[in-house]
Amino acid sequence: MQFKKAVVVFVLILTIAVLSTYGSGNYIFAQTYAPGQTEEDGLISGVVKENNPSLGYITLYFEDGSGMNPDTTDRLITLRSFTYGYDIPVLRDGYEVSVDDIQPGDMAFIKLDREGYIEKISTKSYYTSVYGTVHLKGAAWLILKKDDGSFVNYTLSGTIPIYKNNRPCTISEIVVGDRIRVLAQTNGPNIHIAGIDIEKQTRPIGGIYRGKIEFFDSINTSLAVSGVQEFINGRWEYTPGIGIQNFKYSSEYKELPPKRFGGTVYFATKKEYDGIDKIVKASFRTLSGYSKTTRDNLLSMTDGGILYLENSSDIISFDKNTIAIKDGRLVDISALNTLDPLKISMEKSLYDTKYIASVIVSESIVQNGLVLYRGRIKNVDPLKSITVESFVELDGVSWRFTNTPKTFDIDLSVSRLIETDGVGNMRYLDSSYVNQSVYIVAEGSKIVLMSTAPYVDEPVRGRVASITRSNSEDNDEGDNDNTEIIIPSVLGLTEVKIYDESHVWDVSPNLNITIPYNSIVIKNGRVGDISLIKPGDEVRIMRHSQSGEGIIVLCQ
Amino acid sequence: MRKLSYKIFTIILVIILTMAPLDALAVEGTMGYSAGISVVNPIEKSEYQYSEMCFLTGVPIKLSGTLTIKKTDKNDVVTATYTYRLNNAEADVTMNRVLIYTTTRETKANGQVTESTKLSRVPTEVINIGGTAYRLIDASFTQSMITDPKAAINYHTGEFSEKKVYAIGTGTTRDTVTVTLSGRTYAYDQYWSSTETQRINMMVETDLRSTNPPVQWGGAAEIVVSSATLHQVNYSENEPTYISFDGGYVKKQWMESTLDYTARFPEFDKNGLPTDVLKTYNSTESLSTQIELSRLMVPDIKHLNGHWAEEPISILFGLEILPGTGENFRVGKYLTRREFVGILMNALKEIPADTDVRVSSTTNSRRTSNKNVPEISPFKDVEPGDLYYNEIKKAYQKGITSGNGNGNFGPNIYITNAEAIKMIVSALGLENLAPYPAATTPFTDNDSIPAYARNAASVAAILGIIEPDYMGRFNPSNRLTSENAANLMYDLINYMGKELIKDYRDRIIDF
Repeated sequence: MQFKKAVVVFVLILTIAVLSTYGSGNYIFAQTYAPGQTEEDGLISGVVKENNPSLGYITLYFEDGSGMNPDTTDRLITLRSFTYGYDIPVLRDGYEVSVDDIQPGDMAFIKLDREGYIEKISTKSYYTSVYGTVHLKGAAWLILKKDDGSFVNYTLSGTIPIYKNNRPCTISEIVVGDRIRVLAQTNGPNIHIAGIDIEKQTRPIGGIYRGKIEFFDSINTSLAVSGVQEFINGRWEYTPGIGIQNFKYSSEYKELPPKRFGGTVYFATKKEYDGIDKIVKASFRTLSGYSKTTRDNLLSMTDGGILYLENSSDIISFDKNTIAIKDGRLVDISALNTLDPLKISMEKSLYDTKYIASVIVSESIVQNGLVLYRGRIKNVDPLKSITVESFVELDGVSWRFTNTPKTFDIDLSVSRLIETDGVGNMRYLDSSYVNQSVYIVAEGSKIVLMSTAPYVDEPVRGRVASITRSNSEDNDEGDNDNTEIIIPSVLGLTEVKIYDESHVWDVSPNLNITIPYNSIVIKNGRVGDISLIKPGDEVRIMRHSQSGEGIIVLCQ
Repeated sequence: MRKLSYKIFTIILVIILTMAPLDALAVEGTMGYSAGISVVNPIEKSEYQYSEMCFLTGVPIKLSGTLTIKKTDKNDVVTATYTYRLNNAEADVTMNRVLIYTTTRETKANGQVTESTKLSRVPTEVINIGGTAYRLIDASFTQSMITDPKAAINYHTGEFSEKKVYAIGTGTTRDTVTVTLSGRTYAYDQYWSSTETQRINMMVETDLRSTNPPVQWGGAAEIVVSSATLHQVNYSENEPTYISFDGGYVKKQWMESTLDYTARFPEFDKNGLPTDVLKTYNSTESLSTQIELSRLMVPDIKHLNGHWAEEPISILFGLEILPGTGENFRVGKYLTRREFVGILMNALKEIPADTDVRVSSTTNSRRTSNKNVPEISPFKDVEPGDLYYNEIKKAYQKGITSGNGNGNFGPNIYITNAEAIKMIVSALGLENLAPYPAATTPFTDNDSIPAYARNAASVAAILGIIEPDYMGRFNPSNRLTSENAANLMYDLINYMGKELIKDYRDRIIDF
């Protein structure tokens, strides 16, 4: 009986306790199910105005997006600032992150606990892609010229992920003139950058030309130009096209030629998304008098538009129409730095002392770790390495001999083998190659290219005037083996100099040099074939003194 | 009784099918799904100039020729026959391919349309490369797409996957090449431009069993193909002095397609065997049609000669977006809501339909006449006889405006900046680019912007359709002048015709 009484008393006490809790407002649970209430309390949403994890709070704008007016600051602090609880779950874009990762501009959903602290928070970012061209760049900042023509300044921290071709890279790989995409979330003065993409394939300036305007076709937006010359290696060279040539305008470039224009147009072209070279900048000059080109290093530039060069006393001015190219990219002239090597095309009138620069080109010197060796193969470790008995290393115009064996590593994905009759296969390189003398272009100890071409000892240098490309054709004479005959290329050189036995560069008449299939061509730190060479290039060739074949072609 | 039920059921079905809207989408698959590009042949109907890259040998070969597309649409099931005739004389390559796809469409409750495409027959394909035949022996294909039709633009995205196996030569030992394609499609349709871009990953795997020892090699290519139709307006000056009108504007229309690829395949040695060195090939190919020219009306706006908004106003009159011929246009005049909707609907124009498709639906021959059905206005204060009734009704039906409350539209109330921008962004269907429902805008008078227009103002600022005034304000309550409306419409068609294409083509190719 007493037990029954005790049970009744316990149930009564429990009922009173529960009823007193119900609707008291102490517990969210109780509030949630309060009579007449249809929505859960403690749920807050809004755009993040400020996130301050170190002081432990976050401030949201009002739910309708207002709250930017300074008058509302106090109300925001009172009504829309929330204190973080301890060790709370934080989600951003569906991923678990730390509180610090929440950025102004995020849309946030907050759940408060019964004491008003943040119990959990989840946010969604609203990054937008900002596209443009890098106008200027410092160690930790860049100015972007957006596609709409306006400029925006971004501060770059070392933690911002940067990608090119979907592969991570570093800030130093962003170059002035690069097209980039900045994933930015802007909220008032706050800009948070989630990442930067550099265009997957840099489209360099395809050519810099000058000529006389024949007419401008406004229907097809193209410029008809006669007497077209291309600026190659700091000199104007006539192009193969004879007569009048047509150049299309880029859809992004709006500078039309002046009416009734009778001067010279200088213009730079670049491949667009459709693979067609189009005018991206043009400079219309009416000066008639002197025109010249020069090569020098930049000493300084004044705000008044004067260039000072290291080795020249010419007064050279520049203006907004001056075409400035740096490392193949169209840049603002302010992107040029002291001691940059420049190639300049300039002109002045008969009565003026001051030149005006129409074209300024700066190309950084490419440092590469490629070394050219020649040696007799002593041992082949298939798929792994080869060892030469002794070797010579190309040093300027001569070979430096070292009487010790040297082992080079084979990297099947990189190491190429070129033989007299075509491409060899490193996979099948075996002891049959022992005692064969080969050239090896190596990067460190790794073989980049191995060639079976003969020894060369006669240095020649000159300027490429013409190139007859090599090709291959089916052998339809005799055997039915359907093999290909490799026809070598021929380089036509002007301004030729031959390094003679007395170690002097002797001037020589123009020269045609046959470049066989297994020759080694190196340009801008790249090893390739003759297709790397363009007319106007200055080359140094090591040729075979008997056959006259050019085996090593180094483009300077 | 059973027969009668069957008859009734059939009649109901027929009526339902007849009433169901037949979506004519301009993402027509004119490029096909073989990583190629095409442009329309202006002379031959359903025929396109076509190019694609062939990677079967491990060295890219460009093939060009014609693609003929024939489609029939029967009750939202589209059967499309793609016939390719391609060659490359220099490389001694010919290709003949016939693919027949069946696409089933379904309109969802929210108006979005989903598509599912499959091969409906075993395709035929023979490629002859330098005397060696590559014969298609097995193929599979699947594609899905969703279309989100908004008032002014249809947005599409989808993906497809294809596998083809070719037998090489005619020998008894079967050498094969397997080509696997997976791609994503991004597209939009609207009057001022339309673009379809596919980003495709291709894998080529060759299994040569007839060689001794047997050789297997593989290579891959990333290909972006894009096809776009564009409009542009250019000024054309008059040379004669004694002519009744000033220089005018010419509208240009053309189609252009671009194929951009980066491929990595083994370098082959002198014996035709693959080496382990991967050669990178990249190139961009393009096709385009001749420009079609059409002259715009030269408006009579001599009273605006030299005005800073003369060009947009002249173009908008020429494009018949601004009503009338210009002589009564006053730049400072405030626009009413009905006038603005009239201009906006003129600017948006209808989305073009698929020209290759032949529609044959199951229809009831007895059409119901709606001659005597009275026109019911969606708004109490807009009469069907109103000059702008059709535009207002269309704007309502497309969700551009729902009026100003209580079933009214407020046709004669002056429209504000906030109301105008809300309608424009609703027409583009891009409000969800901002945090919903509570965006903050970059304008200094953000708090003055009505909550209903704050998202729209935020999005319009991102898109570059509106810019802040000299004090960084949007001025949401300011009445919209004719000049400002002309500038807004000009920026809108510029965005739709020029800027949008960058997002769907140039930037996908570049990044």
